[in-house]
Amino acid sequence: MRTIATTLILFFTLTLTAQSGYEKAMKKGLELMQTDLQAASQQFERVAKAEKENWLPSYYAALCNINGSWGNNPKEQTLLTMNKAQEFIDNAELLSENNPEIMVLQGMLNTCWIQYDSRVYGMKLSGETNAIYEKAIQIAPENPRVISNRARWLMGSAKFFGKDITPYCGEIDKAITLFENEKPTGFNPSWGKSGALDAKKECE
Amino acid sequence: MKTLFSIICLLIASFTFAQTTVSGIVLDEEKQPVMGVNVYLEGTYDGTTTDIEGKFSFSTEETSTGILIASYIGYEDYRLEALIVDMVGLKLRFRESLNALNTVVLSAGSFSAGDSSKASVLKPLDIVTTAGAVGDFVGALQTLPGTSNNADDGRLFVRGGSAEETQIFIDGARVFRPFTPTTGNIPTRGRFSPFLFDGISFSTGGYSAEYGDALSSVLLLNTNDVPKEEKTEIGIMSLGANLGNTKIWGKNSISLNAQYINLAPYNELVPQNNQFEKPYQSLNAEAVFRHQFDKGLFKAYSAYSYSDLALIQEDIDIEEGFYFGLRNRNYYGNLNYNGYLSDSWNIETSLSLAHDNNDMTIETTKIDAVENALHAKFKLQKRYNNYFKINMGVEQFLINYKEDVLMENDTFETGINHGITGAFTEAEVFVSKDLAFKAGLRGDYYGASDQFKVSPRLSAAVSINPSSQFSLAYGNFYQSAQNNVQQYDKELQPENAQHYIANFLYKKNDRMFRAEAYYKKYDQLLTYNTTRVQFDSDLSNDGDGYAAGLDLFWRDEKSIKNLDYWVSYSYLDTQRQFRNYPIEATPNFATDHNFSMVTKYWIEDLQSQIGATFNYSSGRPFTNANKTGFLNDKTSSFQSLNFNWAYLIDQQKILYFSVSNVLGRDNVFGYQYSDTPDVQGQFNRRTIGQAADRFFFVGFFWTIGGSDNQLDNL
Repeated sequence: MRTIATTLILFFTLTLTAQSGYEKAMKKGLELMQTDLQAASQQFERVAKAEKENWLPSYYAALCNINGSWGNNPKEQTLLTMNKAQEFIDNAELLSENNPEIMVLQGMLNTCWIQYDSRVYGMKLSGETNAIYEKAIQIAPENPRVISNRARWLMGSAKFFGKDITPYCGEIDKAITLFENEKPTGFNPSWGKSGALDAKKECE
Repeated sequence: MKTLFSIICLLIASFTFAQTTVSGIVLDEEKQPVMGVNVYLEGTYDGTTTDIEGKFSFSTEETSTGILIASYIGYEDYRLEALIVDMVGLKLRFRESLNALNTVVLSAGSFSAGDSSKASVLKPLDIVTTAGAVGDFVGALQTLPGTSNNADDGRLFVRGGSAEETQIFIDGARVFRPFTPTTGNIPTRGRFSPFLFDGISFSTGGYSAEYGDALSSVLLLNTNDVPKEEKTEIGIMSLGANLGNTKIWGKNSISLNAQYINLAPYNELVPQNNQFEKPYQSLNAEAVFRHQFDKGLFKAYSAYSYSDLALIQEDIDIEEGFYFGLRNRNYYGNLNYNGYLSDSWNIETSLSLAHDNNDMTIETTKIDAVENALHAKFKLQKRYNNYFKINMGVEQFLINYKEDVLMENDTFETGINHGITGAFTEAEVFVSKDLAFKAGLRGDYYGASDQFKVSPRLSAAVSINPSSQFSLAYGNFYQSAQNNVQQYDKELQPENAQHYIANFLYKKNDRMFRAEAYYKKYDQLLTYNTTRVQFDSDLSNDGDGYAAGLDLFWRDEKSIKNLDYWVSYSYLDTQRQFRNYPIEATPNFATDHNFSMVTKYWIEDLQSQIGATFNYSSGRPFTNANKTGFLNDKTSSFQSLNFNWAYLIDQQKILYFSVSNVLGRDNVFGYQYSDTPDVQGQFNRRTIGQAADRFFFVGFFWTIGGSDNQLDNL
């Protein structure tokens, strides 16, 4: 009897460790995102390689690389980081088609490319980026990340053309309200509120 | 017994939980430690990042065999399959991966537009925003060194070569008649809309073995890949109108573009130096269909163009001039498939078909030329790794040319059917990211003259430091005679050229300097003994010549905020004995010095880009009948200052304005001398000048669809 109990306990422990491995690894990745984007990206990359059917690790790895490509990195480093981000986006898309969360990442990455070399990529990607955000908002009209990032993209082009940005401020407000009511489930994306708040400052 | 069993169970359990340590160090090719490398066991969450000494160590519960992966941005992934217990004290050798920015480029001879690579000199927008180019991509390429500006012709003249020596390819397949024919110093334009092309690569010599039957230069155009959004484009111009539309459904998309140009209203407003009977008009329609397969992309490009014009051509010996009429109909179709067969094999196959019908009327003589041509090509690429690639392919050209000359009441019919069969192979080797070689060989069988020609092509490049590199190229090139010549003598051999090129490239922080020296040796050039090629000409391949020179290019997008400029200078020394030249001489399309300066300035407050281009070419040779000798004199220099202004009304609308030759300089391209001397024994002459002193262009472009950005069309 004791043997059976021991074995059962052992098996239970084993399964438990197996189950929580993913959660532990994802949690660690999310924690690292606060301090070290590169380490976080590597953590998510490891999880992505182990979780072959799950789009979330690739999604977060892409997000880390997108966030890491902003700023004053050397040009070569920026290029490599953006290419890496694209790989993860492609991988996430394979696992989860027509996912508006992934479309937002693609829109953000396109903005990075345009910033990187506007004369080459401004022409190539601005139309495409518009199309991505339009598609995303059709699928998920109440997703705060879709609303906020789309509005910020449109504000960027309006500013470029010296146009009024106020038409998009309402969208930003709507996104902020939605962010406040958003209840995170599992590891599903729930970031983006601070970006929307930054954009709101520009409206004021 | 029971206890023993429990102990065993516990032992097994503790084995399962036993922690194995995986450890080692990651070193690069110079044996320096690499920090920040992601080292992990594939399929587990176990792994870590290397420290400042390149060391890693992590524990795992895995015991059997596993795959250890080390990956880091900028390096090739490292994979090791082994027993986990053996993964202790590992020494992993990391190899830097090749990418567009850190790797040497085989740049000798070539310019590319539209990517971020080192050899890229032009951005996609430059094709349409260069003042003086007026939306013609050839116009923008003429501001690059190595080209001679022949503003009266409009085609590309590369390094002392005639316009016919440049061949144009769309998606790998040859375009047989890329330019609308014109006359009377009215410069021609490419038939194709620059908006349908994504990548442009222009080579002024030493190009890959993939391209045959081209003596001096190749221009490679690639149509856009899959579009991401639907849109409609409307253009209203002072010369005509333009309509475009893109539709997407599933994995298919189609882009249509149509343009009608009529110079009649313009000619009413702005006086022309030509006396038009029927002003130039043209209709161009293009369509690109794309279908995305799982492992490849299929594209079908199709273009139809119609043009006509008629004018009274001035002539020194005919006071009232003579009538010249031209009508051209051209169809060009191109099918291309590019895809993967496996991880390492890539296939590209293309087929182009062309039909050209050109009717010319000179006074009462009518010349009706019809050309049907086909180019089929099949290419395979094997990628062993990022450092070693092999290309191979076969291709076939078939040409059917027919010319009817109607003179008085007699009709003369001539023509030719001929083919060229080619095969090529080329290996590209990167010894490291700083040293690369390319070696190719092609063989062509010219059916008409029953000749087999072998052309080796070689190039090498070495980086001196991350921003500078040297490269060299050598190649042997052949090109068959033009159809209207070959039809009189099938035995005519292809003309030959050998290129030797040395190139230096510096690129850093949006500044670029490029210097290239070359020597080109011509052989077996066409010669004849009549004024122009005709049925009784004595045709042979007795000509030869050379071209040598230096091309300099500087571009700076950084030094002055919002200003982007480039400067090109070419020095050319060339002499040839060809066509009906009695002696070796510099042809009249070749100029010793060519200089261009292109500037673009973005004014944020006005949402405008203003641009100015200055072109200078030293005098062109001509034969002065009042002196002894051949091509014994030179015209004054060519100078033209062009200006353009693009105003972005909003994201959808753009207003475009341009003037060519703002200062109205009276440029001279040559002279026509009278056949007979006047009473003083002098030969009178007529100046061959510009079609008009200045050229004005106003256009309004509107894109509808999504919230599209008019920068696309800027």
